[in-house]
Amino acid sequence: MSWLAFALAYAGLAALALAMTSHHRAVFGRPITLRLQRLHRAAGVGLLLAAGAALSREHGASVAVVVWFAQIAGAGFGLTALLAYAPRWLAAPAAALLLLALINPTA
Amino acid sequence: MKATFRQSMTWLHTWAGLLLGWVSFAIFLTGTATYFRGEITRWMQPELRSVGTPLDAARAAVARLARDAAASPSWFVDLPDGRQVATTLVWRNPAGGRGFERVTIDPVTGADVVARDSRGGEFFYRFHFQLQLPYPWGRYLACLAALAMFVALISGIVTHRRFFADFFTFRAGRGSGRAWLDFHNVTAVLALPFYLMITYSALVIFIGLVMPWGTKALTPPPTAADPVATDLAENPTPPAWITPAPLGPMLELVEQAWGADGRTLKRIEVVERGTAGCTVKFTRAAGPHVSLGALETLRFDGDTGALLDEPPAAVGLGRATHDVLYGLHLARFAGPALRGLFAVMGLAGTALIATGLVLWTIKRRPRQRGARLSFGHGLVERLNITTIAGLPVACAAFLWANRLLPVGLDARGDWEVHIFLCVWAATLLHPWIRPVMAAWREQLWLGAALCVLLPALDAVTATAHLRDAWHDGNRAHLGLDVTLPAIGLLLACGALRVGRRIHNSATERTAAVDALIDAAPPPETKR
Repeated sequence: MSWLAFALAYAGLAALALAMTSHHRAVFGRPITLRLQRLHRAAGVGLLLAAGAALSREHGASVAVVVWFAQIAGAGFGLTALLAYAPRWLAAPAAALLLLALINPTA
Repeated sequence: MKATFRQSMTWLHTWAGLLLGWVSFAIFLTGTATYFRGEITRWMQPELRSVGTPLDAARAAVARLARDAAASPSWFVDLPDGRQVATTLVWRNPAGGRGFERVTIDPVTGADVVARDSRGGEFFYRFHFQLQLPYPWGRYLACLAALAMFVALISGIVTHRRFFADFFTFRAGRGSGRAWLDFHNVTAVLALPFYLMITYSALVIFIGLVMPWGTKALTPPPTAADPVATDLAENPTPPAWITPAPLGPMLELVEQAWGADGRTLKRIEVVERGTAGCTVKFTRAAGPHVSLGALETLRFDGDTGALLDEPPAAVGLGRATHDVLYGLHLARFAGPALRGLFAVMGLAGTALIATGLVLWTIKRRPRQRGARLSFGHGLVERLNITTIAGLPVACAAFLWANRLLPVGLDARGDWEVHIFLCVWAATLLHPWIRPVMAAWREQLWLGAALCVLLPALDAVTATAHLRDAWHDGNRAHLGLDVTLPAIGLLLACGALRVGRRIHNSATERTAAVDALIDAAPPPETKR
């Protein structure tokens, strides 16, 4: 299971969450502009697709799809918990996962 | 019929979710534990240490079978791998009939294992689809629960349609009803593909049980009585025994093909021994494929020892779909990290069902303090406690029993299960003699304490084995000693949450949930 893909999936979901008015305000303390919202959405979708691409390089198509869904669920739970209890630490898991990906690029 | 489609779906979601919710909770919890079936077995039999390769184990197993089951018509061997230490042998009784012998042997010596008798992770696996009930009723109940879960998932998508606006939202601080509903929605939405997959594949696995007619219609009816039975009836002397070829040379070929270690031989099946149709099938450990149909095999003629051609791989679409869904459900293809994610989603599903059950009671709780609960409401409250708080207590008690029962006890594995059932029965009685909220807190705290203290119990009662586990780098044993306290902490969080809920006013709670679910007004509370 690729940690890089996990990091990408988490970042993608975070971007999608930050495109939402309430979460954006909770993290940045100001309302989101329409342009920024579109930007966040595009980045989110792009990052999720990139995660899928990274997984399909490593696994066959069937396993890649399963891992993709599993990583999105796992990342989503972590993201929701952080948004509820520590919204300023939103970037920490992405950094941690990237670090894991650097240490363990093939696992 | 309800007025609108959405109200109908809400009604369906409420009752499909409630009536089999307790069963589904137990199935999800034990199913999640089953992802770590091998690891739990290793924890519960700490005497076993991993040595040798699967091919060495296969040779020892075959030697043992040749000694003890030479006249048996079929042999089945399940070999150790990275997650399982002992070899399991199953063979059909030579005397005829349908009886099977089953032993667990040491992979090196081939002798019966010298470990405590324990059900291990196998208990959770069996409970997951049989619920400790007699065949086939447990399976029927599990199947019904899967069906209800599937209905609840689909109708839930309609009922809680607002979850898109509330994506990634968990408002723990606001009124308690809001927090429960948020939790229900978040656990549901993020892993929805997983729940749909796991419930649907469960139904596909059970398809022969629920809908046997297709197979019956397509299988030509037997024209005469079973040939073997007629044969036996006509000639009392059974046909002459044809001595099968030795398995040793076949194992050499298997080792050449797949290697002695790593992803290699996992299962051996020898069928129709002693007849002209004897075949030997070697199955390789699961590779990077989802489908169970994709397992690699090598087949030999059991009488001549010749390698047989693979049967044509053309599989019908139905069969292929079945194999993929079955494979998805079992997740044998998953490595440790992916299995961890599956377990997280399994726990989330367990929490999803739990919050659903709790929401049913919160929404219908009387608006005035001190008002009496109706009998039905009281029953649901108490069954919720027995299921959500009581089952973890019983599971933890099962693990405690494993460490505390005397090692030489007769039928020790059965005693572990008796203790599990007795403790669960106690958690069923407890809420009837204690106030409901106190019962919640007491059982959750008990479960938390039992889980958190398990590593300490392990260190005290299995000191030498724990040292061996550290020395061998036995990740299963050490991993469980880390995971179990973490589960205990989750239960403690639940207990704290319940403790806090008492201070909230009942009115605020009910009003909040009513406003949010905006379904029909809560029934029966005003009578």
